Amino acid sequence: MATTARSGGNASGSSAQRPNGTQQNKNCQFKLVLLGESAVGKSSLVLRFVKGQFHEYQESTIGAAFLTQTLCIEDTVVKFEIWDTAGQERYHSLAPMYYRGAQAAIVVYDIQNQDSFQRAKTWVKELHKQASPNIVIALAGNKADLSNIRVVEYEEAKQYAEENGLLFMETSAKTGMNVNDIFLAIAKKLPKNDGANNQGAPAGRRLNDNENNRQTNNCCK
Amino acid sequence: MSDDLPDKFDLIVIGTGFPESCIAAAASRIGKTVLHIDPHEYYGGVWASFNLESFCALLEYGNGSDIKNTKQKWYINEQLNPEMGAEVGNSNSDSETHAMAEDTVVRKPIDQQWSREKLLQQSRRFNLDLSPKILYSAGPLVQLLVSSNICRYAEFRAVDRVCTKFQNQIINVPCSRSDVFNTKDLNIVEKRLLMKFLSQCLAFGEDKTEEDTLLYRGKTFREYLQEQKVTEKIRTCVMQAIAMSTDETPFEVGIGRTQQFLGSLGRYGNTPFLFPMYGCGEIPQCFCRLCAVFGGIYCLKRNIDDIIVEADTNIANVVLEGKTIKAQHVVSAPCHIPTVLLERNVGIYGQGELVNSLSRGIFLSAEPLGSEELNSGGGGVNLLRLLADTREAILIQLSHFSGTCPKGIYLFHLTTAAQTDQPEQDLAPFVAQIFNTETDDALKLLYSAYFTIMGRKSTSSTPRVDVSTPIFCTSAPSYELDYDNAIINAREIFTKLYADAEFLPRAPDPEEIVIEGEDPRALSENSLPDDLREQLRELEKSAEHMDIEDTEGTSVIEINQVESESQQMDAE
Amino acid sequence: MHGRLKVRTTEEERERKKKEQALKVKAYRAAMVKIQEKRLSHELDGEMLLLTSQILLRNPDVSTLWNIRRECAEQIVLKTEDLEEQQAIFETELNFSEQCLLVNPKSYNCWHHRCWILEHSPKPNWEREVQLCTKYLKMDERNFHTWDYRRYVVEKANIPKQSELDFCTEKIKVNFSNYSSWHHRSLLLPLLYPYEGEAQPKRAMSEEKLQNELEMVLTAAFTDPNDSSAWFYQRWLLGYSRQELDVCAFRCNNKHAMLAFTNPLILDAKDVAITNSEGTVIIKLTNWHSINKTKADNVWFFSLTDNAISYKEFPKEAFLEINRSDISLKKIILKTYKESLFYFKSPNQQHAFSKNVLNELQSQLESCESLLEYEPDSKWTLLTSALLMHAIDAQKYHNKSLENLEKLQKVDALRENYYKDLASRWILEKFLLNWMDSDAVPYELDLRSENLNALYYSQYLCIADKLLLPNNLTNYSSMKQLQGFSIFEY
Repeated sequence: MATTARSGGNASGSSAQRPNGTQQNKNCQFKLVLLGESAVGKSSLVLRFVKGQFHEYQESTIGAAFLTQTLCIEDTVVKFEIWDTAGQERYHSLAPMYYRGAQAAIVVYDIQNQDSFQRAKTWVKELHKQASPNIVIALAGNKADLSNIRVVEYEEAKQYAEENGLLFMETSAKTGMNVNDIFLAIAKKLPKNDGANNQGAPAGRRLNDNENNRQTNNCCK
Repeated sequence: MSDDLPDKFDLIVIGTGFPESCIAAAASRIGKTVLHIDPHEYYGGVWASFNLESFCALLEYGNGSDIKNTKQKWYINEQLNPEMGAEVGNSNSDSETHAMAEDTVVRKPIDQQWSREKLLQQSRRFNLDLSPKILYSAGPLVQLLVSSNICRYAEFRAVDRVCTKFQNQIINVPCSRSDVFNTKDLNIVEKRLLMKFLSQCLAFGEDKTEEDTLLYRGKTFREYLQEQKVTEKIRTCVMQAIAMSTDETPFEVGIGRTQQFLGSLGRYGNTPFLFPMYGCGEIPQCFCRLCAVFGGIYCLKRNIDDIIVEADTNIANVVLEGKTIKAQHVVSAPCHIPTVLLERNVGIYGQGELVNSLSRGIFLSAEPLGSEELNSGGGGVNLLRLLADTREAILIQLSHFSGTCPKGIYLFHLTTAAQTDQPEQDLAPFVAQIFNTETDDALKLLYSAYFTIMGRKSTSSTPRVDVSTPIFCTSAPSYELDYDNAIINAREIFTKLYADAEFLPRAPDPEEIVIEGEDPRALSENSLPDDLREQLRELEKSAEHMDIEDTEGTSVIEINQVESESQQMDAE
Repeated sequence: MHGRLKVRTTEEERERKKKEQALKVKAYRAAMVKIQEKRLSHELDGEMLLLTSQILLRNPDVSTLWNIRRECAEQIVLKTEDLEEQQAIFETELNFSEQCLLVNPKSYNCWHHRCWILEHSPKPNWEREVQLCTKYLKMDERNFHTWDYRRYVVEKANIPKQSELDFCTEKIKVNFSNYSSWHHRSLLLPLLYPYEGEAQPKRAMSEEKLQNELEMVLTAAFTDPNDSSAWFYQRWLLGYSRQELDVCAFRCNNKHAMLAFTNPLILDAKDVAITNSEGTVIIKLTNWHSINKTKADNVWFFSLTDNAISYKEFPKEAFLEINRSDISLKKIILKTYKESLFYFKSPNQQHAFSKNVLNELQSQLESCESLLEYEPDSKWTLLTSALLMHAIDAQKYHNKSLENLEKLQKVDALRENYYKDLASRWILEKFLLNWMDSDAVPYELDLRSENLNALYYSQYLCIADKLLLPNNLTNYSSMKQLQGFSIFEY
């Protein structure tokens, strides 16, 4: 039931080959949040992207609502810090801190479920209102492997995405279709100049960032 | 929507304020099933933050029983008047003085002026805290956030300056060594004395100074300070801003706080303090997220009708909008205990009479407080502790760098322990110290708001608490800088619920978690460093014509290199 | 337990780590073998760069691999005439070395590699390097590798010295406990604000700036007395250890000559002559020998055997002429004693500071004194005030500054001998200053009643016929310098 693909190769397979042993000289870290109704396959998309795994009857994995994955784009290493909703969306109780400071979002719907598409539109609106103004939003029509029983038409979603300036792809966490591609498309669209992470929004700091290299600027050491 | 909720939980938590969220997260973390509900449609209860519009509405229409005695006032017009500028509209200012000001005041260009409408247009840029806090960099909350790994959900800004009032002026309290070095407020002898005094404080409690400690036991910190060879200015800085003392503060407490201050230095910024980006309302949400990540279920905007404790099993039946859900325990914020329980005189742990807890003031201005030097770089987060007779208040100045207000606006939080049910009156002596309207250079306010945060205090009429009660009531925010008491409260209730369990053990990082179906011993290619992954791929390609294993032992030196190399990689 | 959190056990984690380790070792070995093969067959190509980069990125301190990269770069550059293409190759190296700097910002190899690249590339961008330094000094303001590299690239980029000084000031404001930064200042200030006054030895910089610097460094020292970097800089400012090359003593009779310098040098045959007031050379002093038989020395002697000259031939007004570019005072008037000519200039003679600097020093001294009321035993305050007094007026404060040093021997017993030595130095300075104008010069140097712990300035003593040492210093009497002029009596 569980299929484990070697996604590592795929995930960064699209990274540009670097001649002459050059390495990327930029590192960017981005917070990416997943949004969408329950059971549209948000966690499955991330698991496919990060671990290359898919489980048909995936229950949300306890404790794993925060994953990281890196992609290489030309001369830049893009590290995604991927936040899963942890089920808080279920009773419309997603905490606003969830999309605080997010530079990217994937809004997911199920192509077999019209309600989930409508709900996705609400999330897009919410993001436009609440999130930072230059957030990159991608719309993912998931479960594309079941396109024979789709109810949300590709063209309809595509048009909506275009009207609202969203990236759009139909994806399948099960087959892996477009999963890496949608993350890659987001990575490409994100601003990657140095310090891109704090564009627009004021920059804060994480507490565990400097646990190891604590300054000795103390008065009395 | 409640219909598909399970009908049984280990724990139901009512209210999403700090202590409730902390307990919910801790219970969920050790595998308990948790239902976390809040009658409000927002997270945080009296620990929440609001955008400007919602905040004004909250003060206008009230909010159940936890926020009271509200009052707000605009000092600016609804709209900008292009001819008159934004300075009219203060109903208190009499027309004569206004006319005089007209001639002398150089008007700001219209785009730097504010109207009510213009501020409300930027409503979402505001995060106005009901209970603002400042964190010691090595204080209990920071320690808890780091040890539980919840810290990855939040970002912080190091407090830019710690200030104090000295001879009617607001001065910068030099915190770090480089502050002392750079300050113009102290001469070099004072610098030396301050540094020496602080190192001495840090050494207190170590064996060699035990004698000194004994000497001052039972005396006040002030008495101790007076016997130190320091100047008046230093004494003020230490008393008011470093040891956070009043004239009555015992010596041990003052030294303890000084040590906490010093111990928090040099960790994140120039001062020992941190402020959460986007306001303190983020903090309970971080704990809620951890709770959710470990399976906690979240429902906002749900009302509790009643809680019925089964006499024989001691199980609580929580009636949630008509549906009964069973729980081993219930933890509730003080204001969310259904009134029917009080009427039935049910003993609840931590329950008490509703009293005034904190008197709060929130002020908006287009100017920062104090000199330009105190606000260089646009003013960040400044902290000022104020004293008036035996009472004290905390003032936090926030600029847009903290993500709590739009650029060009300064937000001031004033907090003191409530004396009366008139917060404005409680805060008046402190407001007079900072927004002194008598002087010409007084800070011009755009908006002010006052309110009281309610808490509970057990009195003689409080029902007796049965030791076996499954219902627990948390404490409302108390007057303190950091979250010390709130954490003690959460920890205490958690220990009552789960005596032997660890309180918020470290949550694993994503790499440590085994996803179902995964071989825990297998080396995931994705977890390898990026460059190594690539190298291995290339290695695979070119491996055909190379016999790698045979190279082992070709030279001793090389092996050693490999080992030291490997160790170095390990160290990374 | 479906859906429950499962975390790898330590055992499982260890196994994973072991596998990962094995892979790393495998990758490392394979790359090393390949590199060696390719080097033997002179395949200095793109693949070689790739292989070396894989190892260097994890350990940037394998010098051999950097050498190989340079060889590669040279080879690859040869293949093209196009400057743009050549530049691109060097750019690649530059980017790569920066990657490695992220791994170890204190890698000698990385910084050196950058120098090499920039020196070889057709269009080096020095400004960018300055910015790189700024970035790295922001991460660690005390990284001396970066400071060294900065000096090098700032020179190349023609960055105004003033802006460098400002940068340096900013860094000190952030953290003054920073030898590199103080050192950087000490190099910039003398160039930006050269001293144009009279004093000898010259001051480090204009007195106005000196005053500023003294103020700044004392603030640092008072803020954290345990930080030695500020004290070092302060001492440098007060001219404590600076002594310019100069003649300090000379004596000559018809048999031999003795010439002493403040610092060791290699004395050339052409360098020295005795002239008369018209400037006519009376005698060339050519056949010099180092007194310690070393190449460079601060005392030189020679015997006038071959081209002997009798005392009567010395002119009434005799001059010593030194023809060396490194000595500023070229013509020295000589005195006579019996049948010899001599010259003597006591060590560290002071030239009063300008009024402003004196005021600054005086106010610093007052600060120290008021602090001593609070902390009478504070060792560094005692020492600073002693040094300040010595700098303001060594004669006037002689006894008082020695009192401080005496006190220091008690409160800071670990450094007792350091203070004793410093006191000995000052005592001898004063003694020699008095000796210079006394009747005893150059005949007799009687140090027996002086409280000396060590004997400094030994080269100054060489012209005396008779040197009388205190009992505790008799072990010095074997020193060649001290046998001085008397050794030629044999």
